[in-house]
Amino acid sequence: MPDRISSVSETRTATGRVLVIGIVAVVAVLGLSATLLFVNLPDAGAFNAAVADVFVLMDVRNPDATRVLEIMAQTGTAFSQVLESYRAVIFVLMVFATALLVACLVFLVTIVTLNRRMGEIERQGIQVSSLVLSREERVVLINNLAFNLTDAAMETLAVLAEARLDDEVLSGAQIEAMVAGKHASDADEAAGATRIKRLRDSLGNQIVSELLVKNIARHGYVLAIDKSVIRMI
Amino acid sequence: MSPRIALLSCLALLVAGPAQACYADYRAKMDNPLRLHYGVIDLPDTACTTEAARPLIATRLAASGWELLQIVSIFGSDGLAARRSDAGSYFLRF
Repeated sequence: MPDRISSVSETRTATGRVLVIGIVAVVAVLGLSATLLFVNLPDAGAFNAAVADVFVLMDVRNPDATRVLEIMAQTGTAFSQVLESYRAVIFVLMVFATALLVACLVFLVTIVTLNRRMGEIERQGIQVSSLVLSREERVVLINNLAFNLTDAAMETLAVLAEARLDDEVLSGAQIEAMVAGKHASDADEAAGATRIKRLRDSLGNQIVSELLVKNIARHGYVLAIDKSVIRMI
Repeated sequence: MSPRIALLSCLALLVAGPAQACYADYRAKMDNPLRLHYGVIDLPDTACTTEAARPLIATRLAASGWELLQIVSIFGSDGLAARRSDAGSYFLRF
Protein backbone atom coordinates (compact mmCIF):
# COMPACT_ATOMS: atom_id res chain seq x y z
CA MET A 1 0.00 0.00 0.00
CA PRO A 2 1.57 3.28 -1.04
CA ASP A 3 2.13 5.99 1.49
CA ARG A 4 -0.18 8.93 1.41
CA ILE A 5 1.74 11.62 -0.40
CA SER A 6 1.46 15.13 0.94
CA SER A 7 3.36 17.98 -0.60
CA VAL A 8 4.07 21.37 0.89
CA SER A 9 2.63 23.27 -2.07
CA GLU A 10 -0.57 21.18 -1.93
CA THR A 11 -0.86 21.86 1.77
CA ARG A 12 -0.48 25.56 1.06
CA THR A 13 -3.33 25.73 -1.46
CA ALA A 14 -5.58 23.69 0.83
CA THR A 15 -4.60 25.94 3.72
CA GLY A 16 -5.47 29.03 1.72
CA ARG A 17 -8.92 27.65 0.99
CA VAL A 18 -9.48 26.67 4.63
CA LEU A 19 -8.34 30.12 5.70
CA VAL A 20 -10.74 31.92 3.35
CA ILE A 21 -13.66 29.69 4.34
CA GLY A 22 -12.82 30.08 8.02
CA ILE A 23 -12.58 33.87 7.89
CA VAL A 24 -15.82 34.12 5.92
CA ALA A 25 -17.52 31.82 8.45
CA VAL A 26 -16.25 33.82 11.42
CA VAL A 27 -17.31 37.13 9.92
CA ALA A 28 -20.69 35.70 8.88
CA VAL A 29 -21.44 34.22 12.32
CA LEU A 30 -20.44 37.37 14.15
CA GLY A 31 -22.24 39.58 11.65
CA LEU A 32 -25.38 37.52 12.13
CA SER A 33 -25.16 37.66 15.91
CA ALA A 34 -24.52 41.42 15.75
CA THR A 35 -27.61 41.87 13.58
CA LEU A 36 -29.72 39.75 15.93
CA LEU A 37 -28.36 41.69 18.86
CA PHE A 38 -29.29 45.02 17.30
CA VAL A 39 -32.70 43.79 16.22
CA ASN A 40 -33.52 42.39 19.65
CA LEU A 41 -32.34 45.38 21.67
CA PRO A 42 -35.32 47.56 22.55
CA ASP A 43 -35.28 50.79 20.61
CA ALA A 44 -35.54 54.25 22.10
CA GLY A 45 -39.32 54.39 21.54
CA ALA A 46 -40.01 51.23 23.55
CA PHE A 47 -40.31 53.08 26.88
CA ASN A 48 -42.57 55.73 25.46
CA ALA A 49 -44.79 53.10 23.86
CA ALA A 50 -45.01 51.24 27.17
CA VAL A 51 -45.97 54.43 29.03
CA ALA A 52 -48.59 55.28 26.40
CA ASP A 53 -49.99 51.75 26.84
CA VAL A 54 -50.19 52.27 30.59
CA PHE A 55 -51.94 55.60 29.99
CA VAL A 56 -54.63 53.91 27.90
CA LEU A 57 -55.02 50.61 29.77
CA MET A 58 -55.09 52.05 33.28
CA ASP A 59 -57.76 54.59 32.27
CA VAL A 60 -55.72 57.49 33.59
CA ARG A 61 -57.66 60.79 33.45
CA ASN A 62 -56.27 62.92 36.21
CA PRO A 63 -53.94 65.61 34.77
CA ASP A 64 -51.49 65.13 37.66
CA ALA A 65 -51.32 61.39 37.08
CA THR A 66 -50.81 62.06 33.38
CA ARG A 67 -47.96 64.40 34.26
CA VAL A 68 -46.33 61.65 36.36
CA LEU A 69 -46.56 59.30 33.40
CA GLU A 70 -44.84 61.87 31.21
CA ILE A 71 -42.02 62.14 33.74
CA MET A 72 -41.69 58.36 33.77
CA ALA A 73 -41.41 58.39 30.00
CA GLN A 74 -38.65 61.00 30.20
CA THR A 75 -36.73 58.79 32.64
CA GLY A 76 -37.10 55.97 30.15
CA THR A 77 -35.85 58.18 27.34
CA ALA A 78 -32.79 59.07 29.41
CA PHE A 79 -32.14 55.38 29.98
CA SER A 80 -32.61 54.62 26.31
CA GLN A 81 -29.76 57.06 25.59
CA VAL A 82 -27.61 54.96 27.93
CA LEU A 83 -28.80 51.93 25.97
CA GLU A 84 -27.59 53.56 22.75
CA SER A 85 -24.11 53.85 24.19
CA TYR A 86 -24.30 50.21 25.34
CA ARG A 87 -25.18 49.33 21.79
CA ALA A 88 -22.09 51.10 20.49
CA VAL A 89 -19.95 49.34 23.11
CA ILE A 90 -21.42 45.97 22.18
CA PHE A 91 -20.75 46.65 18.53
CA VAL A 92 -17.14 47.59 19.22
CA LEU A 93 -16.76 44.39 21.23
CA MET A 94 -18.22 42.39 18.36
CA VAL A 95 -15.74 43.93 15.93
CA PHE A 96 -12.97 43.21 18.39
CA ALA A 97 -14.08 39.60 18.79
CA THR A 98 -14.19 39.21 15.00
CA ALA A 99 -10.66 40.55 14.66
CA LEU A 100 -9.40 38.25 17.42
CA LEU A 101 -11.07 35.17 15.96
CA VAL A 102 -9.71 35.92 12.49
CA ALA A 103 -6.24 36.43 13.93
CA CYS A 104 -6.54 33.15 15.87
CA LEU A 105 -7.56 31.33 12.72
CA VAL A 106 -4.68 32.79 10.73
CA PHE A 107 -2.19 31.84 13.41
CA LEU A 108 -3.66 28.35 13.76
CA VAL A 109 -3.38 27.75 10.04
CA THR A 110 0.14 29.15 10.03
CA ILE A 111 1.14 26.79 12.82
CA VAL A 112 -0.38 23.80 11.01
CA THR A 113 1.39 24.73 7.78
CA LEU A 114 4.69 25.24 9.55
CA ASN A 115 4.34 21.90 11.31
CA ARG A 116 3.74 20.16 8.01
CA ARG A 117 6.73 21.88 6.46
CA MET A 118 8.87 20.97 9.44
CA GLY A 119 7.85 17.36 8.98
CA GLU A 120 8.71 17.50 5.30
CA ILE A 121 12.09 19.01 6.00
CA GLU A 122 12.85 16.51 8.72
CA ARG A 123 12.08 13.63 6.39
CA GLN A 124 13.86 15.13 3.44
CA GLY A 125 17.16 15.41 5.29
CA ILE A 126 19.44 18.23 4.27
CA GLN A 127 17.67 21.00 2.47
CA VAL A 128 19.82 23.81 1.21
CA SER A 129 18.25 27.12 2.12
CA SER A 130 21.34 29.24 1.56
CA LEU A 131 24.50 28.83 -0.42
CA VAL A 132 27.15 31.51 -0.04
CA LEU A 133 30.33 31.35 -2.05
CA SER A 134 33.38 33.26 -0.88
CA ARG A 135 36.08 32.91 -3.52
CA GLU A 136 38.68 34.92 -1.64
CA GLU A 137 38.53 32.73 1.46
CA ARG A 138 37.79 29.61 -0.58
CA VAL A 139 34.86 28.89 1.70
CA VAL A 140 31.35 27.82 0.81
CA LEU A 141 28.60 28.38 3.39
CA ILE A 142 25.76 25.89 3.03
CA ASN A 143 22.98 26.63 5.55
CA ASN A 144 25.59 28.60 7.49
CA LEU A 145 27.86 25.58 7.75
CA ALA A 146 31.29 26.55 6.42
CA PHE A 147 33.21 24.17 4.18
CA ASN A 148 36.69 24.74 2.85
CA LEU A 149 37.36 23.96 -0.79
CA THR A 150 40.43 23.85 -2.99
CA ASP A 151 40.81 26.53 -5.65
CA ALA A 152 39.81 24.13 -8.40
CA ALA A 153 36.75 22.84 -6.53
CA MET A 154 35.79 26.42 -5.71
CA GLU A 155 35.94 27.35 -9.41
CA THR A 156 33.81 24.35 -10.36
CA LEU A 157 31.20 25.19 -7.74
CA ALA A 158 31.16 28.83 -8.82
CA VAL A 159 30.63 27.83 -12.45
CA LEU A 160 27.81 25.48 -11.43
CA ALA A 161 26.22 28.18 -9.27
CA GLU A 162 26.30 30.72 -12.09
CA ALA A 163 24.83 28.18 -14.50
CA ARG A 164 22.04 27.45 -11.96
CA LEU A 165 21.24 31.17 -11.69
CA ASP A 166 20.78 31.22 -15.47
CA ASP A 167 18.82 27.94 -15.35
CA GLU A 168 21.40 26.22 -17.52
CA VAL A 169 22.69 22.66 -17.51
CA LEU A 170 26.40 22.27 -18.20
CA SER A 171 28.17 19.30 -19.74
CA GLY A 172 31.58 18.15 -18.43
CA ALA A 173 33.29 19.74 -21.40
CA GLN A 174 31.56 23.07 -20.83
CA ILE A 175 32.59 23.09 -17.17
CA GLU A 176 36.20 22.30 -18.06
CA ALA A 177 36.11 24.98 -20.77
CA MET A 178 34.84 27.66 -18.39
CA VAL A 179 37.21 26.80 -15.57
CA ALA A 180 40.28 26.40 -17.77
CA GLY A 181 39.37 29.28 -20.08
CA LYS A 182 39.36 27.13 -23.22
CA HIS A 183 36.82 26.82 -26.01
CA ALA A 184 34.22 24.15 -25.37
CA SER A 185 35.22 22.20 -28.49
CA ASP A 186 38.81 21.96 -27.23
CA ALA A 187 37.85 20.91 -23.70
CA ASP A 188 37.82 17.30 -22.58
CA GLU A 189 34.56 15.84 -21.22
CA ALA A 190 36.51 13.58 -18.86
CA ALA A 191 38.39 16.51 -17.36
CA GLY A 192 35.10 18.16 -16.44
CA ALA A 193 33.81 14.92 -14.95
CA THR A 194 36.95 14.69 -12.85
CA ARG A 195 36.40 18.21 -11.55
CA ILE A 196 32.85 17.28 -10.54
CA LYS A 197 34.09 14.11 -8.84
CA ARG A 198 36.69 16.04 -6.86
CA LEU A 199 34.10 18.65 -5.84
CA ARG A 200 31.71 15.93 -4.72
CA ASP A 201 34.40 14.07 -2.80
CA SER A 202 35.64 17.17 -1.05
CA LEU A 203 32.24 18.68 -0.25
CA GLY A 204 30.49 15.37 0.43
CA ASN A 205 33.20 14.29 2.79
CA GLN A 206 32.97 17.54 4.73
CA ILE A 207 29.16 17.57 4.81
CA VAL A 208 29.01 14.01 6.07
CA SER A 209 31.67 14.72 8.68
CA GLU A 210 29.73 17.82 9.78
CA LEU A 211 26.26 16.32 9.74
CA LEU A 212 26.75 12.61 10.37
CA VAL A 213 30.16 11.28 11.37
CA LYS A 214 31.71 13.84 13.66
CA ASN A 215 35.30 13.86 14.65
CA ILE A 216 35.97 15.02 18.16
CA ALA A 217 39.58 16.06 18.25
CA ARG A 218 41.91 13.65 20.14
CA HIS A 219 38.88 11.76 21.33
CA GLY A 220 37.39 9.80 18.48
CA TYR A 221 34.36 9.62 16.22
CA VAL A 222 30.64 9.75 16.95
CA LEU A 223 27.42 9.82 14.94
CA ALA A 224 25.97 13.34 15.14
CA ILE A 225 22.35 12.25 15.27
CA ASP A 226 19.68 11.75 17.88
CA LYS A 227 19.76 8.35 19.63
CA SER A 228 16.02 7.82 19.25
CA VAL A 229 16.07 7.86 15.44
CA ILE A 230 18.36 4.81 15.17
CA ARG A 231 16.67 1.50 14.41
CA MET A 232 18.24 -1.82 13.48
CA ILE A 233 16.27 -4.02 11.09
CA MET B 1 -103.38 72.39 21.06
CA SER B 2 -104.46 70.88 17.78
CA PRO B 3 -103.30 67.38 16.86
CA ARG B 4 -101.41 68.83 13.90
CA ILE B 5 -99.23 70.98 16.10
CA ALA B 6 -98.66 68.12 18.49
CA LEU B 7 -97.55 65.94 15.56
CA LEU B 8 -95.24 68.66 14.31
CA SER B 9 -93.69 69.12 17.72
CA CYS B 10 -93.25 65.35 17.98
CA LEU B 11 -91.53 65.35 14.59
CA ALA B 12 -89.39 68.26 15.66
CA LEU B 13 -88.36 66.33 18.77
CA LEU B 14 -87.55 63.25 16.70
CA VAL B 15 -85.44 65.33 14.33
CA ALA B 16 -83.83 67.31 17.10
CA GLY B 17 -83.19 64.22 19.27
CA PRO B 18 -80.12 62.89 17.48
CA ALA B 19 -79.03 66.40 16.65
CA GLN B 20 -78.40 67.38 20.25
CA ALA B 21 -74.86 68.37 21.28
CA CYS B 22 -72.39 65.51 21.03
CA TYR B 23 -68.94 65.24 22.66
CA ALA B 24 -66.14 62.72 22.99
CA ASP B 25 -63.44 62.21 25.56
CA TYR B 26 -60.16 60.81 24.22
CA ARG B 27 -56.51 60.22 25.00
CA ALA B 28 -53.69 61.56 22.83
CA LYS B 29 -49.91 61.58 22.85
CA MET B 30 -47.05 63.54 21.33
CA ASP B 31 -43.55 62.11 20.88
CA ASN B 32 -40.10 63.49 21.63
CA PRO B 33 -40.42 64.04 24.53
CA LEU B 34 -43.50 61.97 25.24
CA ARG B 35 -46.49 64.09 26.29
CA LEU B 36 -49.93 62.72 27.12
CA HIS B 37 -53.31 64.25 27.67
CA TYR B 38 -56.87 63.35 28.34
CA GLY B 39 -59.28 65.74 26.69
CA VAL B 40 -62.87 66.43 25.75
CA ILE B 41 -63.71 67.44 22.20
CA ASP B 42 -66.84 68.85 20.59
CA LEU B 43 -68.22 66.74 17.74
CA PRO B 44 -70.54 67.77 14.89
CA ASP B 45 -73.95 66.10 14.83
CA THR B 46 -72.95 63.86 11.93
CA ALA B 47 -70.14 62.15 13.84
CA CYS B 48 -71.72 60.88 17.02
CA THR B 49 -70.31 57.34 16.85
CA THR B 50 -66.78 56.20 17.72
CA GLU B 51 -66.13 55.02 14.15
CA ALA B 52 -67.25 58.27 12.60
CA ALA B 53 -65.53 60.43 15.19
CA ARG B 54 -62.14 58.73 15.03
CA PRO B 55 -60.81 60.23 11.73
CA LEU B 56 -62.33 63.57 12.61
CA ILE B 57 -60.71 63.78 16.03
CA ALA B 58 -57.43 62.40 14.66
CA THR B 59 -57.18 65.13 12.01
CA ARG B 60 -58.12 67.87 14.46
CA LEU B 61 -55.48 66.69 16.94
CA ALA B 62 -52.88 66.14 14.23
CA ALA B 63 -53.16 69.81 13.28
CA SER B 64 -51.50 70.60 16.63
CA GLY B 65 -49.09 67.67 16.47
CA TRP B 66 -51.00 65.29 18.73
CA GLU B 67 -51.63 61.65 17.92
CA LEU B 68 -54.97 60.11 18.91
CA LEU B 69 -54.51 57.04 21.10
CA GLN B 70 -58.05 56.16 22.11
CA ILE B 71 -61.58 57.47 22.10
CA VAL B 72 -62.92 56.71 25.57
CA SER B 73 -66.57 57.43 24.97
CA ILE B 74 -69.11 59.58 23.14
CA PHE B 75 -71.52 61.45 25.36
CA GLY B 76 -74.01 64.28 25.36
CA SER B 77 -73.84 67.66 27.03
CA ASP B 78 -74.97 66.11 30.33
CA GLY B 79 -71.57 64.38 30.66
CA LEU B 80 -69.51 67.52 30.29
CA ALA B 81 -69.46 68.66 33.90
CA ALA B 82 -68.11 65.36 35.24
CA ARG B 83 -65.17 65.46 32.82
CA ARG B 84 -64.27 69.12 33.03
CA SER B 85 -61.77 68.82 35.87
CA ASP B 86 -60.00 65.74 34.40
CA ALA B 87 -59.65 67.28 30.97
CA GLY B 88 -58.26 70.50 32.51
CA SER B 89 -56.81 72.72 29.83
CA TYR B 90 -57.77 70.23 27.11
CA PHE B 91 -61.48 70.67 27.82
CA LEU B 92 -63.03 71.54 24.45
CA ARG B 93 -59.71 72.90 23.30
CA PHE B 94 -59.53 71.34 19.83
